[in-house]
Amino acid sequence: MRRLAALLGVFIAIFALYVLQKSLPTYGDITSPIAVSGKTGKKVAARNFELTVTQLRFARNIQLTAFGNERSYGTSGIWAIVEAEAAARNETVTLMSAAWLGADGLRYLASERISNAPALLGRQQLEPGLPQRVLMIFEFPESEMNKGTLLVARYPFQPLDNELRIAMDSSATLLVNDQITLERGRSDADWSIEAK
Amino acid sequence: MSERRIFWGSLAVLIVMIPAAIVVRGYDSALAWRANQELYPLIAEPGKSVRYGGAEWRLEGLYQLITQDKKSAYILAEFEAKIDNPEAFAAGACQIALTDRGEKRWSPQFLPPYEVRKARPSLEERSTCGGATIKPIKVGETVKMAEIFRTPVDITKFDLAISQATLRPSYLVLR
Repeated sequence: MRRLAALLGVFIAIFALYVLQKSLPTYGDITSPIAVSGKTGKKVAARNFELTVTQLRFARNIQLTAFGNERSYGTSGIWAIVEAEAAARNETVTLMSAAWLGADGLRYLASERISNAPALLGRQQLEPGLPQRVLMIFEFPESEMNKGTLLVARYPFQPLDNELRIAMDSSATLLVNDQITLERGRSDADWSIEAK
Repeated sequence: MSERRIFWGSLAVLIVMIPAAIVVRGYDSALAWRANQELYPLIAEPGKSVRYGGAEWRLEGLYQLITQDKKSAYILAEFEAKIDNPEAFAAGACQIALTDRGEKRWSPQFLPPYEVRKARPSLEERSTCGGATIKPIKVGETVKMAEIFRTPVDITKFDLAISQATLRPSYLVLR
C-alpha cells in the first residue's frame, strides 16, 4: 500500500511538472501590452488615456482639402476612416500607435500616406480634461473589413502598458462610400468629414 | 544532524534568501526609477524665489486666455531664473509641467499658438525652459522664460513644476 502511494505521488509530480511546462508563458507573453477590451460607441479607458470610437466609415477614395490644395487618394483595397474622441487621463500624452487587426490576425498600421489629413491621432497632443475629436485612417484589402479590431496604444512597442482592443462593429457600416472628403480648416480643431 | 532539522533549516534560509535576492537584483532599477521621479518639492510661494540647479527661480505671472470655443484655455506662464552657476543651470534637460495641485499634469505646447502670440507679442523675447539651458549664459544674468499650456477652463489653481534630470527626485514648484 505504501509503495503504491509513493508511486502515485511520483506520477502526480510528473503530471504537475508537465502542466507547469506546458502553461509556462513565453517572454513575449510576459512582456506584451496589457489588453483593455471595449466596443464601438463606449468609452474605453487605459491607464493614461481614454478613447471612444464614434464612427467607422469605409471609402474607395479620400479627397483631402488642406492648406488651399486639393488632392485625391485612391487605393487598390479600401480606406477605413475611424472617428473617435480621445483624452488624456492624468498627464498629457500622444498616442503613437494605432492598428487595425483583421479577423485573420493580420495587423495593418495606420496609414501615413495622407500625412496632411486633419486630427490624425498620432499628431495630437492629448490633454487631461479636454476630449478631442481624432481620426485614424487605415488602408487594407476589402476582405479585412469584417470583424476587425482597433488597437490603440501610447507607443508601438511598450511592454506592460495598456493597449486598447476595440471590436469594430462593421456590420452596420459595410456600406462602402465612393468618396470621403476631409477638409482641414485654419486651426487643428477646425476640420470636417463628409461621405458621398 | 537529523533530516527534520535540515528541512526546517533549509526552509528558513530560503525565506531569507528569496527577499534578499529580490533586493539585490532590483536595487539598481529602484535607484534608476527614483532618479526619474519628482518626489521632493522645493516650493516657491507667490512672488518669492527659490534656489534650484544653479539659479534663483521666480514665477512672474500666469495668464489665462480662453479659446474661441470657450471649452479650453491657454495658460501662459512667465518665469525667470537668475543664474549664479551656469554649468549647474545647463547640466540637465529642463522638464516642465503645469499641475492642478492634484494628479493632473499638462505638458507645454510645442509651438506657441497664434492667439497667444497675438495677445502677448512680448512672448518672442522669452525662451522656453528647455531652450534656455542650451544658450551660453553668464554669471548674474537673468534668463526670462515662458511656456504655454492648454487646459480646461474651469481649473483655477495651478502650480508650475520644474525639474532637471541631474537633480531629480528634487524638483521646483512655483506657486
